Amino acid sequence: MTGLTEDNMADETKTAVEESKGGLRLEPHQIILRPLVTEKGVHQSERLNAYAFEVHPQANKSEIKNAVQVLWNVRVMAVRTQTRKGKPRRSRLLMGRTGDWKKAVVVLHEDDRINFF
Amino acid sequence: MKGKDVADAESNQAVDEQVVSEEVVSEEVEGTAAVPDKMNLSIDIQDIGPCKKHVRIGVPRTEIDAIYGVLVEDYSGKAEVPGFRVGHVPADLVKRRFKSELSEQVKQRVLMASLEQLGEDSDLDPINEPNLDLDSIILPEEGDFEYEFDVEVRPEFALPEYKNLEIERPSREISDEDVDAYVAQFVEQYGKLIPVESPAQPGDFVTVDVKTTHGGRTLTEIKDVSIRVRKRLRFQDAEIDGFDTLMAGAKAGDIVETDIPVSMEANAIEMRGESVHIVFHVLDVKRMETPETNEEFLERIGSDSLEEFREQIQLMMERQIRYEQRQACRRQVLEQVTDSADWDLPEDLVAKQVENALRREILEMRQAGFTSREIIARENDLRQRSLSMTRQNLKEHFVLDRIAEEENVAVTEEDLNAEITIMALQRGENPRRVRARLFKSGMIENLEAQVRERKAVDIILDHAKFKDVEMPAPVEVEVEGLNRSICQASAVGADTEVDDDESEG
Repeated sequence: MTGLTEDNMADETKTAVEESKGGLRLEPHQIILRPLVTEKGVHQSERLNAYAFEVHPQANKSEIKNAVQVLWNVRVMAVRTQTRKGKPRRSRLLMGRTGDWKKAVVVLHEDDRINFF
Repeated sequence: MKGKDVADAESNQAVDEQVVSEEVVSEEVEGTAAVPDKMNLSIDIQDIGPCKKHVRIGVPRTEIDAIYGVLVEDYSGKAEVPGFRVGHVPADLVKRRFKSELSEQVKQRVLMASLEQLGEDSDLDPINEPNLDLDSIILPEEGDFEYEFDVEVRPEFALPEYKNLEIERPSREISDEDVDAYVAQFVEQYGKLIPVESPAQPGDFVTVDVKTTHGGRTLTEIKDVSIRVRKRLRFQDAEIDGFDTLMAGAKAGDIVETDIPVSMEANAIEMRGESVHIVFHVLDVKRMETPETNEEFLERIGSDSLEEFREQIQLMMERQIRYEQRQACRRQVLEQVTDSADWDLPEDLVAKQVENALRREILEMRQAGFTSREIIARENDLRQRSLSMTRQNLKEHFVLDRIAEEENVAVTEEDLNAEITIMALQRGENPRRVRARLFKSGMIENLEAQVRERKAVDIILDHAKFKDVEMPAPVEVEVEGLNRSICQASAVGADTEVDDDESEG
């Protein structure tokens, strides 16, 4: 085998299937929804050169990496994603919840920087 | 690179969206930061006319940056931005987020600080606010900041000699005859008019219809008016000298006529100096029957005895004389101190004051029923008059102000309170209400200036040399006044005509 794990193989197969079916193809600006400018985010960007974004829930790490590289013209070294669950919300007697959303923390090459301000 | 730009724009937009709910703390922040003590300004002051200066102020970039830095630091410590604890917001984010507030405040601070410093460093003595349009002044993002404005300053003049002025003080001993004359006049208020058949004599009252014509055109008609026969009959715009001889011997049904010149200060400009024919149609003659000054009369006016009554009259006349003296002295002081004042006045201020006076007068004329055409005809005349009056008033103000300054005259809170109390008493209002109104309308400063000027006049009078001169008799019994115009239907009268011109205005 070429060293690929079962998961990776499955991903590649899935992407290939979707693409072959003409499935969901997102443009870079549709993948990166907004940068998360928070105290923690600023801290991570200063110390670890890692930047947080809200991204499209269906975008995968490679798409995110590609999008950041295209949009900011930087080199992405790693992408970590989290699916944040929505919070419960109550409107009078009805219970509801806010939507789930996806967060990505992108680590850049040490020579590259993004300025959100 | 295009992609990068798009992403930048997007990220900016995203930041904006994120902080929509953010609370701006600019008001709390305002005025808390320390501004550097002294700025390194370049100030250029030029004369551009009488009492007018053109000021150009240059503020170096370093000074602006210093103020900007102080403000950003202040904002960082207090701004509430979502995603950050208070006091942990990065300065760059603060600069971006509060860009408009910061630049507005920096502008304000720079202007305030530089104007304050201008006031301290230069000997400009402005009399009004500089004509600065804050909205049109833009603080550049880079480079030095320069702004300019015009300001009116106090006129420079040599203070005239104001001590040892020679003042003619009109004075008069109240004689028994004066008191008699006043008493006679006073008693007449309680007299009755009795119709008589005999011809009119001086002192009688004639009821007449008055008609004036000029070149065959009727100017005005006054019906059924009672006039006392005295030496002179004075209308608003004309005077008949020898009215008593004219009317002497007139009886009911008689017609008395004469020609009189219209005064040069008449409202109707076209009639000034013209001769007007005036006809009196005598309707009846009445004679005044005065009550005797007996006990009954004295009781009626609340006096115990004739001596006491005469004493009261004497006291009152003395008070009147003192008032006249004060007025005459004040008039002379003002005349003498402004006599040598041939210096220039701040023209904008004069124009503004004249405009105010003119507007007030025109409003009064309008309320009195003058037509627009008449008002326009009088406007130039009014303007001239208010111009010379305003100039004189301003000169008096400046000279007295300088004297007050020279003598270290201070207007204390007690002075103002006393003045306000008097005003309140005169109007029958609560002093606190009068005070509040004065403060609200900004008139308190005028009152303060007025008190200051009065004190300055008092100082001049304290040092003046007085020369007593004879004062004319306090009771003038030779003139009968009729508050009517002979040239036009007066608005004061009951028989005002409906004027077609009104609709044209």
